[in-house]
Amino acid sequence: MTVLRCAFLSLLCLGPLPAQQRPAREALQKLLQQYDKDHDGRIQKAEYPRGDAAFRNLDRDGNGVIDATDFDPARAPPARPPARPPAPRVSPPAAGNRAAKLPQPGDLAPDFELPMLGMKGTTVKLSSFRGDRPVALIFGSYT
Amino acid sequence: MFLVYIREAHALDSPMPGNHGLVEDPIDDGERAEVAHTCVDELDLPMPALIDGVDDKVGKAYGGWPDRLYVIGSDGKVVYAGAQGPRGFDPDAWEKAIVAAKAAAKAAAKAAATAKPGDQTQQPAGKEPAPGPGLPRKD
Repeated sequence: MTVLRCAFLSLLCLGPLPAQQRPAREALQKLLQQYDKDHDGRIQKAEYPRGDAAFRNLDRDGNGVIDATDFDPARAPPARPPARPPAPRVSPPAAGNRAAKLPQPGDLAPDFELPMLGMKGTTVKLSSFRGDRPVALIFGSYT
Repeated sequence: MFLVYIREAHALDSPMPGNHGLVEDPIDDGERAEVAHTCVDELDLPMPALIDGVDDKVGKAYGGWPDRLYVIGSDGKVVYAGAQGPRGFDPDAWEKAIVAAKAAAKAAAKAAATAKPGDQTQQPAGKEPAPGPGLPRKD
């Protein structure tokens, strides 16, 4: 425990900002640059065009404005504490994933036609490969 | 092999923001294409990327969020469906499935070629002109 605490303290002393605060600071700055039209260092609801749900997610302390306190790890611990094994997590609350039944081996793969990145106007239709060759798919995102 | 770029897992404005890549969850298809670009560039991904719409239609149909692997056989059927990532992400099993699917496709093409010798409408091996019975689907 003491060792851990020492490690943590030395981490704090390393840079101008504690390691885990830097991304938070950057995040706030990015948002302010984009949305803080009256330059008061806070983003009011009226300044934020991306919907209520997203605003609530950013306004972590729920005081009605997006400001520094929402990005202060000391006050509002980040959702994913760094440097710790993943805690058992209940199923993610995300909007992403509700399908009645996911395709299983043997099922006909649900067909889709999606635009290809970097090739304007080009789409790829999954079923166009049928009878020709297998297709490997990786679903994922940046973050 | 395609990357299917879907809804951000840990966008800045999501319930579970992450520290990696400070991006907001795209709210229209144009934004999603932009972030997909960032994703492919920053992570230096070599495979072609397809972009799911902001309606998340394809991501939902495959339970793709936050990440998941699939292999679809040359007959259009699923041969490998990975568990939900990141914990269920198993590239080794996926790779094995790809190798098996390729072999199966080759065998199927060969069987198709030898099944109808002398057929004057014969196509070059490995290229079947039309999907089999029951397959045409209009979406």
